[in-house]
Amino acid sequence: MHRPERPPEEVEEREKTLARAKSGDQAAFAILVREHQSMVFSLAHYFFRNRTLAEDVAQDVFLHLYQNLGSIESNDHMRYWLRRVTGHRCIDHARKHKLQTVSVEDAPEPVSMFDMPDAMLRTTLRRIVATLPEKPRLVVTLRYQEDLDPTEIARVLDMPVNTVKSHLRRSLAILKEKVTRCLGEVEV
Amino acid sequence: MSRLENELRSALSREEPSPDFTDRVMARIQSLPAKTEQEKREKIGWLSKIIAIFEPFQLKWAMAAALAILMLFAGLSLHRYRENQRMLAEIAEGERARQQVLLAMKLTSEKLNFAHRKIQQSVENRK
Repeated sequence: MHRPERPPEEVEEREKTLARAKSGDQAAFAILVREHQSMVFSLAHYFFRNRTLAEDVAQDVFLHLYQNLGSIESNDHMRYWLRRVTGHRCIDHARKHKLQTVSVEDAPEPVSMFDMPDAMLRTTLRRIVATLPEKPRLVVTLRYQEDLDPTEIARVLDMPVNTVKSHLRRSLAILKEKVTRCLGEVEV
Repeated sequence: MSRLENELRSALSREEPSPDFTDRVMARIQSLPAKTEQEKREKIGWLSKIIAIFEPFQLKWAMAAALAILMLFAGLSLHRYRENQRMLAEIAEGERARQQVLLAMKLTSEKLNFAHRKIQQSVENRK
């Protein structure tokens, strides 16, 4: 997937905002939060499938960022840092609270008869992603939400690239099988 | 790329949190300074930690710890000194016993020589 390059002026402006935030400008930090909140929140949301919990975790991540702004070198580094901290926070939280994943067979029927097939498929996909084990779930989310390649995911989650690739392969096979089972004839 | 992957991209597209999310994060940050100061204090380097030992309150504990270590060290030294003394006394006792045995053997040897000489003399007189 193509990632659009930002114009140089925009990159410069973002670096300036980061510098202001690092020097204690809270308005600049609020800009950084607004810019990255959808990324952090969505990673947590697709992991937990719970908006309230996802917002709590995302808030903690930004608080942690505020306390560690001194170590952030650039906007790219900040994006990497946020993904990494969010991923680890999600796994830590799930382990600490022993969150149970819902089996796709046990989950309630999500689809209204009047939904469009594509919408049905997306809703079902989200539910099935939520049933994957913790690490594969994060790998899939980072791959398809953040469009990271396996090497980048390996760096973010501190795992070997081959493990990432194997998680992706297996997760896609599970997703394909479960989607076919749930939606019958829909071609995936 | 498969349809599944395309659909995953759509299904897992970014979502926005509640509209007041940023405000809530900033409100939590506002209530942070006291805590941050404490955390900064916890993160001071090793040099500052050594300096901090010499603060009056810390010094009291440092001195108590040093005194305890000193007492332990003195106790161990005394114990080792006594062990040493006991071993030296045992060695001296052994040496004294050895000297006594040697003296007794020397006396016995002299008496045997004397008896031998007497017997020799009486044999020669008979001849």
